[in-house]
Amino acid sequence: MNGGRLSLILLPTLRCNADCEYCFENKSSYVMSPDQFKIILDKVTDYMNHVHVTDLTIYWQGGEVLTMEPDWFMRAMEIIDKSAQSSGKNIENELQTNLIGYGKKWNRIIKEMFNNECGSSLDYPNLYRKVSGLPPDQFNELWLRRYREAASHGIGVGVISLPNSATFKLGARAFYSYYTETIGLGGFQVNVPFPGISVDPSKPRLPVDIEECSIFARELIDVWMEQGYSRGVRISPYWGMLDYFLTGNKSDLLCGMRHDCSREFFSIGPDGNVSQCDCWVASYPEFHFGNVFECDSLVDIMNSRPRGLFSDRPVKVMEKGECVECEYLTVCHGGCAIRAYSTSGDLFVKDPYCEMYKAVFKRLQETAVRLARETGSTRPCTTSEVPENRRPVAAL
Amino acid sequence: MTAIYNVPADRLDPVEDAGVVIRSHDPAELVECVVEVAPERIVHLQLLSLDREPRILRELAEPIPLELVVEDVATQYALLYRYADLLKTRPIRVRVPVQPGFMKVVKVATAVEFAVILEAGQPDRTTVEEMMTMLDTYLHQTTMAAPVEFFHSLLMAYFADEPATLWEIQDEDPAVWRYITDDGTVALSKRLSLLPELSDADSMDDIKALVPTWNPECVSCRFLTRCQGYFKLPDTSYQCREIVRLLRLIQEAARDLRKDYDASLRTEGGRTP
Repeated sequence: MNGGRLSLILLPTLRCNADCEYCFENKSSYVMSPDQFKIILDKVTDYMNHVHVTDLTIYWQGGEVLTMEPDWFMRAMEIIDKSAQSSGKNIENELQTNLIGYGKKWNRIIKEMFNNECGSSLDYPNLYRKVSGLPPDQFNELWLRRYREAASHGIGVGVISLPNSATFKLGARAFYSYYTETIGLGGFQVNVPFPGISVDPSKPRLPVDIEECSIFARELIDVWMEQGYSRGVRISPYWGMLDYFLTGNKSDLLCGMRHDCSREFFSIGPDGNVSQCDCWVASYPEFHFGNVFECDSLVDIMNSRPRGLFSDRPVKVMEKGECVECEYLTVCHGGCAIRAYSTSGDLFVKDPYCEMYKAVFKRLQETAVRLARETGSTRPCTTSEVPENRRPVAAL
Repeated sequence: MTAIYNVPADRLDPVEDAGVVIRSHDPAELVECVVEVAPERIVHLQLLSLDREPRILRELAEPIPLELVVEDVATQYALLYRYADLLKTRPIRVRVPVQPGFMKVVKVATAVEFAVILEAGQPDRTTVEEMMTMLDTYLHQTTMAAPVEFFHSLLMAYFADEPATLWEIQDEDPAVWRYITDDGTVALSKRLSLLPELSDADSMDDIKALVPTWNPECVSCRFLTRCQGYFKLPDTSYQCREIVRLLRLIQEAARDLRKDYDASLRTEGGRTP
């Protein structure tokens, strides 16, 4: 039996052309070589055979990936094609870039390797994202020029935004309008910030106020439903959560809110260090699972004690009892490990944004009920409609 | 229906052609014995201890269903997370003893989308109260998506007006299920083997014939066709007043569901199911 997906967050370099104040990564100029990438891919496909997984998504992140050269990626594409043919695995690639280094020379790579799509980041108002030596507002101007050039070549750009205190002051309506009308995006993603390693002990442990963040999120959902939902605008993660409440589909929920986050995702840095995701690779060496260049097999690394801490995190969080009582356990599972650890120094506590997410879930649940009533799409589910792998064993 | 034997992993030899549920406390033993049996004969694997390292189960290549047996609801509920990723490759069900606090197990199990089967025993009033709360969560909490037996199949049987008894729903139909004890003795299901007069039973008719002799209360019970004395074992003097409240709630929920369903069909233009 084969199935399932493995997601590799690959950091071929930690070099970056931006200088964002809230960045949690320890920068270095080291760039992985194509030969090293081949070693990694060989070991990853061997590991996939071991755990009977057929599909691999490689999320190319940094640092900033576009500080590398297109030739590097041409070579990477050849390596991936050969590996997919010889191993029989399905390998997909996703690109995350700040777009600052984007130019025409990247068009072929983005088209052939990344299906003419990429993800990027833009805050509004921008307080913290900067190109070295320039104020934040010039980052947004430069980003917009690059975005329009990419869009003119048919490249689809997804945007992640991190709200800050100025965002809350501005309000959800103006925030929504900036992304959908000023820039003209058909959707965007709203993440929440966490302190990372360089948190100033004199400041609050979380960069934003949870209550303000909750109010903003609920208002943004309302604005989205009022202005964009029926026109096909997608705001992530709300879209995925709403889809869950409407249909039961969990595939578009955030990675950190899946019970199998630690099983599906792992990250490898430019020097071969392996950990749970990019934040852990780049910032917390004490949580490295091992080094892929120093080990015969990725299986040993994935069976290491540090990785066991992550796979056991839901067990430890549940044993504290509070999450088990929550109605939204099935869409949260204690939340994101990096947010928990970077805020409290304890891996085995729930997500610090718990109260905000509960408010968001409740608002989206209510919205789903209203939508279902309006469209008349609800109906009882009969036994034959329970997905095959969710049916009682005896019914198979 | 062909007989299905619940058999210890080290006693597979006597049941060469029957369907089997293979049970063991050791995940490695389950993985090893699977290669000795044709996959189509294995109804499911039953892991009796949740505190062992489950990693080796990921090496099971065949999509054979897995049943996890919870022994202690107070301490083992969180351990279910260790098995959650296995659901990508096989159906998983959790067998939960209805002891005080069992809801925690059901909540975690259903949160990771495992199916659940409750082993109800003969619950006292307090335990039935917890079952009622669980039933309410199962029926009305929109984030609850996995089936919880016997609630689920009984609800659907009432909804579709189809015959089904608790013995069948709970995998204890004497026409189908046999249990081979650790010392190799062939018995009926655990529950049925508690009454000596049932040692020769091999059909639901045998049970139906005996129910009136266990307790006269059953004869006039409105749930007799579904229960067939299920809750009268092993102590035939067990008073069903509390559990009947639970069964009534399931029946009423099915009636409401049927009413809503029929109404929705009428609004969609009179299509029939």
